[in-house]
Amino acid sequence: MTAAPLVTLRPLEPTAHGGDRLDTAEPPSGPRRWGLGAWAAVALSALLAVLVPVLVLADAAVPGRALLCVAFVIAVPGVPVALALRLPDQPVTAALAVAISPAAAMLAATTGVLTDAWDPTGALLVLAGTGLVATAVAVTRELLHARPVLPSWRAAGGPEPAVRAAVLGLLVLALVLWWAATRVLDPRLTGPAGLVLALPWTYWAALVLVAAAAALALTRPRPDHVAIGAVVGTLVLVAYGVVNVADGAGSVGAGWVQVGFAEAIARTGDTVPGVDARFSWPGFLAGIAQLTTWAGLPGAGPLLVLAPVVFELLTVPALWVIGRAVTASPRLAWVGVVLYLLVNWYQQDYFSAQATASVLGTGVLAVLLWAATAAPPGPDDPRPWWRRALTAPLRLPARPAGVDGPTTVALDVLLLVVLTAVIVGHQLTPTVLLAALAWFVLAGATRHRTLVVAAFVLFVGWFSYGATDYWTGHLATVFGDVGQVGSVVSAGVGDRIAGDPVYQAMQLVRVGWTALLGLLAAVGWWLLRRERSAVLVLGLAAAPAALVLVQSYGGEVVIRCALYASPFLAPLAAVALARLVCPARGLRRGVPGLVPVLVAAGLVAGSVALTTTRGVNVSFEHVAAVEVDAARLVHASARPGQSVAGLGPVGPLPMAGVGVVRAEGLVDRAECSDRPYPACVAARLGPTGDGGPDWVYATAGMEAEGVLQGEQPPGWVPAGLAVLQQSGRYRTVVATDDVVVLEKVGRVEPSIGRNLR
Amino acid sequence: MSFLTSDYGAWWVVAGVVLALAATVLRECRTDGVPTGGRVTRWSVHAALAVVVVVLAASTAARFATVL
Repeated sequence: MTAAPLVTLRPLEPTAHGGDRLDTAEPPSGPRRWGLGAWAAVALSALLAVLVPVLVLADAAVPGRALLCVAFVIAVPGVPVALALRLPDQPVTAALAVAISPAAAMLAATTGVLTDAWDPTGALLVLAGTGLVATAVAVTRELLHARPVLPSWRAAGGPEPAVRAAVLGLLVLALVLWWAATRVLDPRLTGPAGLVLALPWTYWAALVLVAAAAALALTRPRPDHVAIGAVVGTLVLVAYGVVNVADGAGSVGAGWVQVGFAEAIARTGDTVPGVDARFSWPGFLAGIAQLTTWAGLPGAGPLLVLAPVVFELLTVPALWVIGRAVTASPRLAWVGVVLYLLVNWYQQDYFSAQATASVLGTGVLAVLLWAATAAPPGPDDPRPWWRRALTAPLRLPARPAGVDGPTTVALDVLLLVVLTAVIVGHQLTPTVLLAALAWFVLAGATRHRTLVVAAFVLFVGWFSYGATDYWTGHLATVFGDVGQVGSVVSAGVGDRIAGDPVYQAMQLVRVGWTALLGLLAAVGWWLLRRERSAVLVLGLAAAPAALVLVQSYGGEVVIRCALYASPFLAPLAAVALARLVCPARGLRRGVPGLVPVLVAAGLVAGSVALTTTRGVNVSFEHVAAVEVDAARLVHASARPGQSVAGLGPVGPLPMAGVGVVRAEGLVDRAECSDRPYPACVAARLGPTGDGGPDWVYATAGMEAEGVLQGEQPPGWVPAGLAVLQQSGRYRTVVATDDVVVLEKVGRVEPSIGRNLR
Repeated sequence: MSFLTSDYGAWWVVAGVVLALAATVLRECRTDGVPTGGRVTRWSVHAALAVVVVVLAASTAARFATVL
């Protein structure tokens, strides 16, 4: 067997769309020797596989134990398993690695729940053992298959040290400014326009520096992947982490709901039937329960703070692989990643099953798309297009160069593990994923056809037998929206643009930002329409739209469609943008530095748009640390069976107590639309004043949510609390600007706590 | 029909996954360029997989029908 160079990531001549085309006609390639990064990753993974079990078994209360456990979930056993495959493409290996590890952890935990054998420590030992065995296999295969280091795209060019140093220097300065911004940012100052008007100048200065670094790194003759990767990581931290870091707590109330569900599983070792549909897809919840047990945490609350940052960073390898497959250019692949991040205002990356499923699903699609585009093209087929289309599902594409039969089988098994975790972890993502997988088959673009069949079997089987609790009570919901495209779109778009006029305008800005991405993607696809993978990519970008045909998903399905399509829309949009910048390339001889300046200006504009659109809901989605403390106090004080009521669907109150206390709303606002809120609260108390819940929890976020989305007048929360306090049945336990907690007691003298702003 | 609606249906899922992986092995693993197993074996596995898919779909439909 002769050694062959790595086929991927070798920039050659510029393409018509402005990228650096890969030479797909280059001879086949095989796996090459590990670089420093691979050795470091496998060593770190092995260290974690030893260290974390030791810490857990010793129950050592050392600082950073939670962080190590999170790293374990990300790296073990995925890193050594993926490396052991010796795929001829390191970015694909990375995308696969960060999908396998969380999937394995989720499946181990789910198995414990389903078999009534909840044993987080046992699962940890199994995962760690698997990781260590895989490490031995990977290292052995590496040493036995030692091959000379052949020229690659990296060796051919090499980074420019001065440019890399300049980029990293800009990023360090940006991080310093960003940190300063988080120290003075007060998310409570946000209004209907959202975060954009509350941010200090240091935040904007940080964004400008990140944009400058990105422009510098992206426009060099040979892209420096380390520098661009650092830019992307910094952009994610700056733009996606600012609110949570400023608050010191995770935003988005739905994330705290998942914390509560995971806490219930960690406490009981089982799901809580009849409480919520999400328990029918327990993969993520069980995985988090397992993780918090390893980490010795009473709950997953601390993990929420950086959850969006971590989820987005884990998606980056897969996004890059998809971008490279679509654009055939490493540089444009990075541009696609940046565009994806700049338009990702959907905030579906909070601590949740869907965010995890999105990471895993994107990883699966990236691997399959790589396999489709890296495979040598078949002979030209002279038949008419319709005959080719009809027989396409029967076509068996070649394997990518350097991938043999056993490796393909192993890849099938690993992808099936990831798909299984998605299927048992989230309700919606598997449907989109299956639609995309079906398109791979219909387009004749994958030889993993039996993998698709196996995924279909698992999906139907889990829905039928695993999610019985859900569909026995919601079959009308499951099938009620089928074919109701108009009402689904209306619920997903029209119904959401309501409430405060400024808030409505901001929602329109969001829609426009996504529409711009879609428009650019359409142009980009048109430019690539004659490429071999054009039809495949078009179908993958369009596949999520199939959701609109079958499900409204509580009015969120349009957002999910945009989110799931974005990994494909973004690189297509990058192709269009590259074409736009092409004329500037012609000018740069006369105007030195024009292209970097244009790119930097575009990135600044995009970053401002991201901050604006992503931060629209901050006024009611952000969670102050004191709110978390107050919620913890409620759950520590409430006795089993007592009722705990929030005034709105936001905030951290659902963080615990599932199956212990009765969680409820103080008043059903939908049923109270014809009366002032205080009157409804008084009606809830009843003539004797005893009808209220045992605990009442209100936050400034609930007030803002009611005003912006619930058509409540300003001050509705304080007015409702005043009714309770004046009834003489409640005493004020906590009263701050952010949160008020009332406890039901015997008749006491009326008192009024500090009103929420 | 009862076997379709019972919880034993979960085993059909296991059977489907095993058969799908078996089909993958038979397709990908070759000796001297010839796929592992004879043509009859490969077609048998595919046919069995098709049966599992049909039975699973029918089972699910039947379970839904009991609720509706």
